[in-house]
Amino acid sequence: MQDFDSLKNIWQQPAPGDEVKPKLPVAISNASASSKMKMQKQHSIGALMLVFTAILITCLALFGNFNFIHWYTYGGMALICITCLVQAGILYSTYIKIKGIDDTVAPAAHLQQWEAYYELRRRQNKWNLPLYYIVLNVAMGMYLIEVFTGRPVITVTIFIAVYIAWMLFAYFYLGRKNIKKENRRLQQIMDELKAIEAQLNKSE
Amino acid sequence: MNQQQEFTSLYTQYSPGIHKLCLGYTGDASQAQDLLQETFIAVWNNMQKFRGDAKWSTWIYRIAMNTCLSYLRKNKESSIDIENTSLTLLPDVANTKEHEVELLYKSISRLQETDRLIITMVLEDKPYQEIAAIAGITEANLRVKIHRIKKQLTEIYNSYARL
Repeated sequence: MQDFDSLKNIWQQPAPGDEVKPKLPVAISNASASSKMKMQKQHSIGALMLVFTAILITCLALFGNFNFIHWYTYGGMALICITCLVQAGILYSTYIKIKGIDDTVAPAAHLQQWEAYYELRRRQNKWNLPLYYIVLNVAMGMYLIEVFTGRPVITVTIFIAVYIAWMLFAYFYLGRKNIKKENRRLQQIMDELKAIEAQLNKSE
Repeated sequence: MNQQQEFTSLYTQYSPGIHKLCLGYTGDASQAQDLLQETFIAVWNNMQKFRGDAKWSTWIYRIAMNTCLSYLRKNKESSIDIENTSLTLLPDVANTKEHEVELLYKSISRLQETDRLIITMVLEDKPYQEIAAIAGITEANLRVKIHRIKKQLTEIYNSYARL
């Protein structure tokens, strides 16, 4: 039967592995261990890729010598660029939100900041993906009208059928499944954060 | 002293304690190593914010506590679960001390998240005033919590030691 002081003695004796001192992180700014940094990196790279896509499409529209005659074809390309840039802006603002989480404040306040971030993600999930799909498909539709003009009906029909089938599958099956999964995960994380916060705030 | 030198000095001084804190929290060596790294990355990134209002140790332990508490428990299942751990299989002759230490870590991992961190700092003999500042709670509340956690931990430890 041990009392607490005996446990303290056990704790304070050198533990196995204590001889091996933890190594100093070699490249502090590049260490992959940080999940917060990983999240920041994911968002910033995602935003950059979208900006790059928008630039590429703009270059194609301006210098691609496509010689489209209808405004809506260029309109479609412009709408794709705008969609990419808006999406990049959303990713960048999320990146700023994660970066702004202060690691040095009191734990309860720190947990609240994470909760606010996950709540934002949950709200984004509700409208961001559906809106992204709708605008992107409208833009693709505008672009394809002229591209398909004069092509064999069978080719156009097959292309449109495959495209619509894929979009419906991607949105209604894959997209919704992922959103549900992600929402469950976010809710679980928020519940856990709230539970920990309650542990801290509980007066005994 | 430049930032790199100061950081190295802080790391040398506090990393063993933070490592134990993280080990007490996760009950798993590799996760503790990840949390230690993540803590010191946050220390490095926030060093310019340190104004000297608190001691370095309070500031660093607070970052460690935040890192541990916000650690997403996606690896929860892989952390040590005392219920499923066959303690009777542990070698009980040559390394009794090692066994006791291991048992203590496992007992700590049975506590609630914040309790694990608080009791680890108590075991490290950190002053109550500093623990209260790290956890951001009043000293009076902390004392009551510590009283309860000590009792709980001792009971858990003894119940497993009897197995």
